[in-house]
Amino acid sequence: MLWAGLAVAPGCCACEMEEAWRVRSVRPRTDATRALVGRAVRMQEIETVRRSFDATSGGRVSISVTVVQLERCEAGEADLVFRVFRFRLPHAFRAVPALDLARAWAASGAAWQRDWRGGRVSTSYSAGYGPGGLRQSTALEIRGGWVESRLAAGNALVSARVLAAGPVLWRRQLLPAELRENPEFDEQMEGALASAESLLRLEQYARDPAFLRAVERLAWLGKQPCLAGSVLRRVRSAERASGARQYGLMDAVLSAGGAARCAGAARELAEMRMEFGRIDRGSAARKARAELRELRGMVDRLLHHTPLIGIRPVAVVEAIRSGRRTALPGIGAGVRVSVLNWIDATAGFSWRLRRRVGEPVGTPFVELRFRDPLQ
Amino acid sequence: MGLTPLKKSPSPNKKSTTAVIGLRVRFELGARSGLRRVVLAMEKSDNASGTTQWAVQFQLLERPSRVAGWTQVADLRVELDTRQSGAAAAVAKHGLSDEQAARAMGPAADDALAARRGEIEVKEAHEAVRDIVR
Repeated sequence: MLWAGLAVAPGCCACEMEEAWRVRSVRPRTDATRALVGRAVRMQEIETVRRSFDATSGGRVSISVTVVQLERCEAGEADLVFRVFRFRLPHAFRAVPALDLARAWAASGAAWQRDWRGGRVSTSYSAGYGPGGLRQSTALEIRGGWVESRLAAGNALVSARVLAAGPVLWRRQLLPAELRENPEFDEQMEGALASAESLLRLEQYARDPAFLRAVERLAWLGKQPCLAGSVLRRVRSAERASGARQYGLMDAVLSAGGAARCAGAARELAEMRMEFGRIDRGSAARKARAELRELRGMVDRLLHHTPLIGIRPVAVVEAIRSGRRTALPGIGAGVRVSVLNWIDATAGFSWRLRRRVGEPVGTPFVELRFRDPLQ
Repeated sequence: MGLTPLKKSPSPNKKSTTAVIGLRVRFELGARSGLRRVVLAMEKSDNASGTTQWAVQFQLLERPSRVAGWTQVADLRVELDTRQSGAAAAVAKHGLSDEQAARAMGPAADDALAARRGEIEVKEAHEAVRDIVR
């Protein structure tokens, strides 16, 4: 709760948070504060407002910070001052005419946003209705290995941007150098994966219809006292087991020489061996390999290709068109810091190649993205 | 005549050699049910006489449900016969084969449990563990 800040406001120790809710005189500083007065300001709603800014600014990151201060504090009465700071990056300041928080707030009440993702392509659409009318924006993004393209349009604004990331200039590997340079490490990893694949194969064998037919004979076999003691114990264990364990016990039973001292049990064991031989091992091996393929790839990426931290340069080419004015091209450069291929933090500066009178030389850009590190 | 700058002499230990005096490879085999886990650790050590000794540490862990904590049912440490050194080294390098995984999950685990219950002698359970790396 943002209001929690009120209780710890300096110079107002006597004010409890409860008191802060019962403010009697409010000194509004901006139009935006009027919209906030008397409302419970929750972070969630602040987020909604922020998203509304995002949508209207063509997907650029906008940050809004609301600072609440108690400037005067007397018994049961306080002056509340809301100060709203908006950090609107690149073109939002020019393109979106005087976004006032009250309108955005109202618009956010009816905001609707939807994202679609499919592989490297993602699209989003958001719409909201407020005093200013219908606000809507749509964006299409295509992300390649090195190049990301984004096209966004919202009300009177259209922006296109291509961001190219260069090679990693500096990185710190996830795996310590001692292990990377140790040839035994790879062998051991491969050995561990091979063991996992063996186990998966056993699990697949244990699902084969031929194996299940052999298992059906265990109940009868478990009642035959003519079986050798250790074999009888394994048969009874196998009857209660499942999966790889059951396969292992069955394998031990069938490979034990001289297990049966009576013809009936020996015949039954021979039948079981035949069923055992009919297990489709090729199909089981394929299924196990397929099941492990993703894991193998993931381990390889994590151990050999995923940097703990990677720094790479980025270059940006963009064009912004606001209303019927001509598109303003711009070029920019920056730095991207990737943490575990999971977080991409990009910051840089974009220079306008053509400017209108009174406009700044360029604008900074900041971007924070979260990705699936195992993709 | 000025002082000649000091040159860095090449480090005599630039090319160091390493000798592996111990190796431990650990395999964990988990049942699909999530209720049983077999841990098989292979340990290699070179003794003073220069012979290589392999040992297998076999642990069996069980739990009543997927959300419960693991209980160690058995923990066996078996010194392998020197004739098994080649097989043990192959397991450490290439992992367990189907047959070895089956023996670990099936008879070795079963015998470890039986030894704990007193149904068989611990020696028999050790033999089953030794058989994994056959």
